[in-house]
Amino acid sequence: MRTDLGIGVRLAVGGGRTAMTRLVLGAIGVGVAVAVLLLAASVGPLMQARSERANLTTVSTEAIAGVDPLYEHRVSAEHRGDGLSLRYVNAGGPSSPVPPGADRVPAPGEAVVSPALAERLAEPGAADLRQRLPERVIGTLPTTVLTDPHDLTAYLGVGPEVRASDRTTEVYSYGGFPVDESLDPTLLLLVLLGTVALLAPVFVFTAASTRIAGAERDRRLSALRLVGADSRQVRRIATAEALVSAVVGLVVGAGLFFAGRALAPGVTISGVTVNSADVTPIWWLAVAVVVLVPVLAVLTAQFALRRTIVEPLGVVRFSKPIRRRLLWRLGVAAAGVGLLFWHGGVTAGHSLWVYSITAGAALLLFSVPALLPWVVERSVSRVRGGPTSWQLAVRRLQLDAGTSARVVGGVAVVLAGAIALQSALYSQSTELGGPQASPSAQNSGIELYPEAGLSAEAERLVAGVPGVRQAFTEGTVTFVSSADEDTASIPVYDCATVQRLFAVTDCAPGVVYGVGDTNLQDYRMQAGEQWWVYEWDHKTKTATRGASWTVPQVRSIPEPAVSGDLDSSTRPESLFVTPGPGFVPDVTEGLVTPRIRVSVDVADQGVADRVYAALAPLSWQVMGVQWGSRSGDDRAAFTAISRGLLIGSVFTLLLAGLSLLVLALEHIRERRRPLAVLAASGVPTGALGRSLLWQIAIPIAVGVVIAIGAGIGLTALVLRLGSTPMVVDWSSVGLMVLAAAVLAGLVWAITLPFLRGATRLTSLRTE
Amino acid sequence: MNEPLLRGVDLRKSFGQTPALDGAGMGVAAGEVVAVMGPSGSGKSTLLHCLAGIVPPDGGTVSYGDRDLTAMSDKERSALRRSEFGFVFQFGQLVPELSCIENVALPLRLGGAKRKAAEQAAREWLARLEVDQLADKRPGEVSGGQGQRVAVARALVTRPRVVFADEPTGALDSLNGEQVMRLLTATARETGAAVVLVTHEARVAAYSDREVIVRDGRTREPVVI
Repeated sequence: MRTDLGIGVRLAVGGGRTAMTRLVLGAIGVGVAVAVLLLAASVGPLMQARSERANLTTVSTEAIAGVDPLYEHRVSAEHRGDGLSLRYVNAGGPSSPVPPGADRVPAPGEAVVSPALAERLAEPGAADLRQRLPERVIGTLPTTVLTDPHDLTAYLGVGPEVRASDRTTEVYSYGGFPVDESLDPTLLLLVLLGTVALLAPVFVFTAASTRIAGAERDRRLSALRLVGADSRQVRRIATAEALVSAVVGLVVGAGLFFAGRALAPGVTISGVTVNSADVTPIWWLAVAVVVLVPVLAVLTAQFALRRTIVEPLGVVRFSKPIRRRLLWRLGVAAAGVGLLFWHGGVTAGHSLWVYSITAGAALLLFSVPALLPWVVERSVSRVRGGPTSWQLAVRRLQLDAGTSARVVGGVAVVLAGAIALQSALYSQSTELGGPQASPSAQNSGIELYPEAGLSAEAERLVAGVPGVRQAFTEGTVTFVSSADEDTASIPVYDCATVQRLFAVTDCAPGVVYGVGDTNLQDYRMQAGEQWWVYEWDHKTKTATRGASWTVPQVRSIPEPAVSGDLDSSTRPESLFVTPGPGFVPDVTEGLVTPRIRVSVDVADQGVADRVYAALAPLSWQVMGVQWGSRSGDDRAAFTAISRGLLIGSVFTLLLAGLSLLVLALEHIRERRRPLAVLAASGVPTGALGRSLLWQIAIPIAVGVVIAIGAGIGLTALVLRLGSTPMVVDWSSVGLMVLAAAVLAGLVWAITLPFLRGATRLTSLRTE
Repeated sequence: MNEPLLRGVDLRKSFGQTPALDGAGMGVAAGEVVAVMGPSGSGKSTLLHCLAGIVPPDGGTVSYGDRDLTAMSDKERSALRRSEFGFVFQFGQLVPELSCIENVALPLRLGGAKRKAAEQAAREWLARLEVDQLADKRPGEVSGGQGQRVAVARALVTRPRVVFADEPTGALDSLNGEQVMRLLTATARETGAAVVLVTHEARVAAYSDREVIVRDGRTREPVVI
């Protein structure tokens, strides 16, 4: 047996150009599959590692005997569009817990920062950030306590005045609360679809690569039979040949995986970067990949020999015309559709849901190469007439449509996957305002949350910042109905703000204004009803009924007079009230939770940093949220995923094209003599060339039609799960179809010189 | 003629509705060179294939010594081909991926011999067939005549008792053809191997001790032993 395996290995690695091409193509196919599978096997540990690190910074506010609290006040902000996570801390005593990764609690004026923030602070162009964070850096946090190695985070020492803030928490210990880092179901759907769509063509290609140089392999195996190898030995030799390709593929795949792993920290998607160490596959899944991939390669090789009897005088295939059965091919598609409809009968994100979606998408994609031979066969079976080249091609396809269809199966499955993914992404990005969203949608305003009593000061500080169009303070008061059934949160503006924003000259306290058509019914209120102010105590975290309020008539006012200065996030478009006697306190007081809405020049990318720099004197006493940045991040993520998928699709398309080329060349070599005979009997070489083009183009055209149907169908089924309306990106579909057509044309053009060589009359010679 | 080493009696074989052998028979004794002649499509190659155990006949028997080839399993016939028989065909029998020396060593290796020992024996045979300088070349890199001599070396490397040669010079010019035939028959006689030589060329048949004519699937004269 060892000798047989040794001969197989020798045949695989030392057989000249064809054998090397077969080996390289097979190894690339298996390698890509292995790399993607190892990556997929790493997703669990990656999420687990991120979750564990995120868990390190969760806090426990339950008092622990003998432990002094650490007062922690979290402020989120941004710098150059990147999120800043700042934790202002003050030790309540000597036994206060130390923030994870720090040696000690930083004293007022000191800071412990993440490596990325330290790097950012040290940049010559980051003077604005140094102005905002003037604290002396006394240490750097290890990346092992950061969720993301690029996190901009810091623990900043602050005086005991921080203890008075509503937003300050008393921390008795860090860690211990699991953090849910699971993916958003829609993103998970896209990731699953992407994985399947990229893996499916790789598997199809790997299967096709075992058929590359099939005729030569057949001749080789029959030569072995002639010198005395029995059928078992021949199968062992074929197995060893396939194993070599699989093992080389494993090495290539491991190399690709480790290269990608090393590059991981340099890639940020949606603000998320991963540590290389986290990208470690689950060991048993890695073992399964290492074992199963070669087993699959061997099974594929054996499967290719299933209808073959290798005899000493040549290979006999059971060539009795086989009636292709439609039922099982449709069954594959139907099973895929069924799984996508059923999706485990569980909620999104559940493991059964993940498995059913993955299996459903995979089955639907694999139905494309399964259906293709049947459809091609039926398409050409009744075709008659046409020019010589067309007749030659059609007759050839009528004799054996399966080979051509199998050849283009790889291309068709790439198309189907790419169309599905691009359509899914396009639909998703349309939900987010379109892939080419205007800058206004990406940078549409800032909200500031100052500490109690600092609203006026914060508003004053930002009002004069270049790029700021409007800044106004808005409170929110929550009312509860008499029966405690309904609550209504209504914005509160003081009269100065109302007069500045609206064409209102007679602003009065205690009045309810409705912008445009807004009325009380929208809030389930009636004029004259009695409601109560809903008071929330941040310290005790309890709610109580406050002052009672009789709902007045709504005074309707037109759209804001300064609407050109306001964007969608800062434009008041609803009901609001003015503070008045016996009703609600001034907006600058704590009860109404004031925030400052800042409308900015959307084209000015640096305005947010200038706003934050202007607020530096207030330090921890003001927190900012930049509107639009989240959807901007999502859009960036979708753009990144879309670009990645395009690269992946082009790569797999090239891979499929390569196999198409190799198989087309092999087809010419195998039919060298009949082609030469045709040329010798007067058939023009041009007609033979066009015949070859038709033989590639007809299956490609059928494949494209099936791929579009499968791709769009898959998108519709997948998006139905996320309740996202489907929008087909016909330009992407057209682009992919064009790419397939160009690929077919290129393959044909490359094969032409070989065809000319084959049709030379010297090919008629036998020696 | 001595007691035949290999004998086929009343062999019948059809491919679909077309009969290829219709009661053909012949025998070959150890050390004897027998030429099987006949026009194209007469069934001479099929007769050779049946005698060699490559193609099972539909009827009749093939005996090798006291063993019945037609009753043997595929594995037994493969073992027989590996150890007792050698083959030289018109073309296509060398494995293109392997070098000439590896091709010659192949039957020994399939029989379980160590690589070094197999290649040592192969080198000796290549030298006897005067192509030892081609040892490391692939079949595609040598001429037709050289390739046939490599094939003869491979056919003889296991010291077979019967060599089957099907049109061994069919694709060669006359000079190379003569050379191959001279080496094949001389070496076979030297080792005591019987040769079944299928040819339609009289000058190739001239190297044989005896001729059997096949026409319409029948041997012209029933073999009388």
